[in-house]
Amino acid sequence: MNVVIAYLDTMFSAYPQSPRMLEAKAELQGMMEDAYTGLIAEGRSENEAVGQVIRDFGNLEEVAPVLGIASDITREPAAATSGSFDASTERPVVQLDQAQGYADALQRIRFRFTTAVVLFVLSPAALIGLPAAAGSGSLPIGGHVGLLIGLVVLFIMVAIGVTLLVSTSRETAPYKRISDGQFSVGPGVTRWAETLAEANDRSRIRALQFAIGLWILAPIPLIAFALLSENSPQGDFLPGVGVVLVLVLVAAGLGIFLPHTWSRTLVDDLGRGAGAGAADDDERGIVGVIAAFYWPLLTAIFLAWSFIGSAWHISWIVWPVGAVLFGAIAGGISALESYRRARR
Amino acid sequence: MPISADAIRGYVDLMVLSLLRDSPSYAYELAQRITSMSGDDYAIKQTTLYSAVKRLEAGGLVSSFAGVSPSGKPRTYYRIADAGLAYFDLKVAEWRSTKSVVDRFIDAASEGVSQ
Repeated sequence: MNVVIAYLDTMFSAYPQSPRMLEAKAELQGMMEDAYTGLIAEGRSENEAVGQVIRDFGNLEEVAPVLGIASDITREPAAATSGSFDASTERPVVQLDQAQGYADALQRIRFRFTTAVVLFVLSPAALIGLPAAAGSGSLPIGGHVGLLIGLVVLFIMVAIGVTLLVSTSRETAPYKRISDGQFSVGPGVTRWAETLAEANDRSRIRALQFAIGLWILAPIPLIAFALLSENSPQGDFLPGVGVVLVLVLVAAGLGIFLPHTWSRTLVDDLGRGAGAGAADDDERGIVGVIAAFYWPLLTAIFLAWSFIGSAWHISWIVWPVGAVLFGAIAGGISALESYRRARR
Repeated sequence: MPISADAIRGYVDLMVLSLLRDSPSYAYELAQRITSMSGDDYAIKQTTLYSAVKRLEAGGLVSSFAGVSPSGKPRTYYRIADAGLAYFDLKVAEWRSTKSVVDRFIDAASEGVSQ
């Protein structure tokens, strides 16, 4: 509920604290409190309740005429209609209702988007695992059959992933202007989005910490299996299993983290329109993308070095070095992020 | 099909008055009743409802008094005034004729399609 009160405070902070304004604020706060209590009683989580209450708040401009403060806010971009334009930049103005629609769309697609990314990361698993298993005799199929099944699985997973992404882009299509940054924002929109993001920050940061932990742990099975396989009759099978486990851990990290990024994506997308600059990428854009490419690349380096150089006894050094480097990259990005946020 | 805020704006006052005809009420309860009567078709924003009751109060169509909500919180209650009852009848008549005019265009258009 503190987030809701803070939101109301920032919304009203732009106006003179006249008795009529204070009365309006008190009554609106009462409505929000009742709505919040009602949602909690329905069994919604605190985050959901706060998000819903703020989405249902509406637009303070609408109250302006009955409070006699209309003249104070007319300097804001021409009031209220969705299609209005900001004369200074000639760009369409995104009002709160559109931003809310975009937030809902991001929230609706977050699991589909995550599933697609997870499928892409996991898609080579069968291709790596099955031929290795077949080669070692653990599975009663030939190496070529294993390869073929692996390829089919890869194509099916990629196809499902692409289908999911296409369906998510259909949902966000009406808000293309926002994701492209071709707009300026209406009054209160940025504050609304930031309040929403702050309400979700705790769970997002927890998910990120957990995911980074998984990504740092990801290479361990491969190191372990590679070391074990040196004296093992199973030969190349164990490193293959290790690679599959690396993919599973990377995918699990992404699966945990990505569903929590939508509210920051919203703030960053809206921030671009408010003139914060296109360099304002979110963590999904940086850490997530790095993780998705980093570990498979490291795996490729490890396998190439090991097989070509026949260097199994020493090539494991790739993993501790890679893990420390990844920790440094992820840490550096979040430090940069908090520095940027502190400067704002 | 959810109704846009623009389409229904002129009739929020009528909805509020119709609820207050039954009994005095406070803002959150009004919002709840409007949302439950509309199903998923229309979710009223808090600022929309607040400006509607304040507009009605300023016009002398409803009066406010301090009350206590069922959960024990102090809340501003609204009661319909005589002028509000008359205004409600007027708005209902206006809605009927608005609806019949718009319907005529829609019927004509759909007949045009079916021919």
